[in-house]
Amino acid sequence: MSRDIRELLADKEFQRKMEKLAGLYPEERSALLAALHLCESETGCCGEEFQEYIAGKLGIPRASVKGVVTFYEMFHEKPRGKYLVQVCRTLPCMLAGAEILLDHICGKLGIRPGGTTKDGKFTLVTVECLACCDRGPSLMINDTLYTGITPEGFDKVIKELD
Amino acid sequence: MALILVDGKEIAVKQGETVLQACMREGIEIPYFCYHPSLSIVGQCRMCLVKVEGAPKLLTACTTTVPELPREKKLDGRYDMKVSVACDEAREAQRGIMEFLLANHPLDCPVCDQAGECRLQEYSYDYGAPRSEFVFEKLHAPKRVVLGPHIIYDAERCIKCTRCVRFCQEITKTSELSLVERGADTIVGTFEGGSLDNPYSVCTADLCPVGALTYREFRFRERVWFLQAHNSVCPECSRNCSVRVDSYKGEVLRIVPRYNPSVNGYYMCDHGRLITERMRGLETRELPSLIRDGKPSPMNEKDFYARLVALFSEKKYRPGDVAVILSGRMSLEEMAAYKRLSKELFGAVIGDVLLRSGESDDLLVRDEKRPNLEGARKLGLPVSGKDEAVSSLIGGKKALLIIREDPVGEAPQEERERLDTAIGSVETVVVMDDHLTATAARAHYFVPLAGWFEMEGTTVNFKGQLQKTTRCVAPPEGRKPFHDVTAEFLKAAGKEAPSGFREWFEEVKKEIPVLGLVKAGEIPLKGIPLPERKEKHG
Repeated sequence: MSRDIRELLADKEFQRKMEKLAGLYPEERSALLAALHLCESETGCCGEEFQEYIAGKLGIPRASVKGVVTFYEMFHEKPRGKYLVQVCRTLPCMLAGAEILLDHICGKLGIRPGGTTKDGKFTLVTVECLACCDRGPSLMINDTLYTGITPEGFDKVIKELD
Repeated sequence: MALILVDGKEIAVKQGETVLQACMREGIEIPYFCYHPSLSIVGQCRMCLVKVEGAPKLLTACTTTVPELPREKKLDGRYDMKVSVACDEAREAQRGIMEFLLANHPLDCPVCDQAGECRLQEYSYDYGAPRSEFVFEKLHAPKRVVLGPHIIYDAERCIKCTRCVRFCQEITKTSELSLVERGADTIVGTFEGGSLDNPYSVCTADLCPVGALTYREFRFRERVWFLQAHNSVCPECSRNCSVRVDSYKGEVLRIVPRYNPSVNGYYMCDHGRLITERMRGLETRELPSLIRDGKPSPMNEKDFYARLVALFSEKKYRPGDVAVILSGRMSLEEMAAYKRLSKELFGAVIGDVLLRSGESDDLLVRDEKRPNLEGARKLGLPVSGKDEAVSSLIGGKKALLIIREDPVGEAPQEERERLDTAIGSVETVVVMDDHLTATAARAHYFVPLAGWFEMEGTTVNFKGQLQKTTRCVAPPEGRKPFHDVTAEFLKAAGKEAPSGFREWFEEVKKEIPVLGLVKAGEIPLKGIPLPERKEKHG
């Protein structure tokens, strides 16, 4: 989850995976999303170094790679905390109380959206629709989805995280 | 060929042509931001929404092509598509798009450089809603972002049409730009540490339909509605890009490309635009001067020419004694005038037009760095060889005449000394140029000439396209085009001479017979293609 990017790029196993990915698509550039997912899961972010590497590898302008990384909520340019708290900021969740929830989380963790706690445990972000509009407010902590969550519910959830 | 009906007007649509293109061709206005004839079509801005009969929702005219329907399915038995631009639904959509585009726009037109030539402003007047329903605080985005050496970006004014992004991907193929972030946070950006620094970067400011990308050198210099536009030609290489020169109070403030399919298309290089910056601070002189020890002392024009004529008639230089260096920066009229003068002074046409070459690319920039070398060839003036050292042209001569070239200033270090010695040993050195060059400082006589944008003239580009450049700003009193200087010379020698651009153009026509009936005042803006020059063999 938080390997060093240089170590990752030097890793033979990783390089083999990249080769395989590139070969999976009729056009190499289509492997971009899969490659970004791989890097994100291994290192926790897709920083400049990886963007430049993958741009060269797949023959895509590096500015375009940056465009893709910054477009999608699930990719991050900067390293994030151990737990990524993603609060849905789309209309139905907001109507269901996401705003109150977000205020509470900010107060609880002592950070603003986009920030990381000093101990590096939590990063808080707001994200576009998590596709659970009928059960809002929803949030995700890393890959786990929580719906219909109240401020108290949030406190309980993070208490159980190490 | 399909047939469409647009608000009651029948338009034939060519295979692959879009509704927007067909309407533009027929003079029906559909508003748009992101479409540009030289770029790919993306349907990004949504401004060109039109109603198409039978379609479930409004369609973007820029992306809609017209399939030809089988006879029995034709609408009203005749049309392949029925479109409405002016219907209430389309107007409502245009108003809505304008409202969205302006929701977070700073509306800072009073201090925006684009004001006066801004599509957002124009469409706001033509298509916008009278007031916005958006009552919240506007989002803020980065301002004054230095995207490159000549481009500043204001993300708040940006409407994300992606013209600049596509230009860098498709035309220069340098791909420095991309949309980054998402939704309302989207901005145009480069990779970390990247820079919009390709040789055509300022074209992005031309393409930008709003004030988001501005040209640094022109920023805050003048409100555009005060500028006077003049049609001219860029003198920086043998492409001769058609340009529009914008001046204010006698100063050239901006040079922008002028669409000419047979020369430069829609674009020009940054180097050409930056003439304005290079012109600033040059030492320009108004009066002819005698130069002693590098210091010019101005002289009355009439006495000056009389003195020169007396000198040449007294010395009786023979053609072999004289070296003449001519320039591809001279207009055709100036070259024709020189031929007349040369015959008068030396009894023959002597001299070499300097070949100046440099970098080229496969877009517009040509290797020959003078605008009118092809014109010189058309007039039969010899052009020097690529590797010919200027000092070798001068060696052993008694008189030297240099027109619109600065061989000393442009000489590489190792050649400079040799050139200095060569020029130093010549008895009479006359330099004519639009500013006091390094070469002029070594001359005995300096004749100030009008600069490129200070005179009328014609040039021929590498493909043989003859174009006319106009007098964009007035030269200071006393600075003349070379053909008028020639007339002074001839008059001082008691000879008849044509006067002014128009009469000298008639002289040019004698040498390029194909120009036959063309009048100097009637050269079309896009120029005249001249037939290929027949190479002399053997």
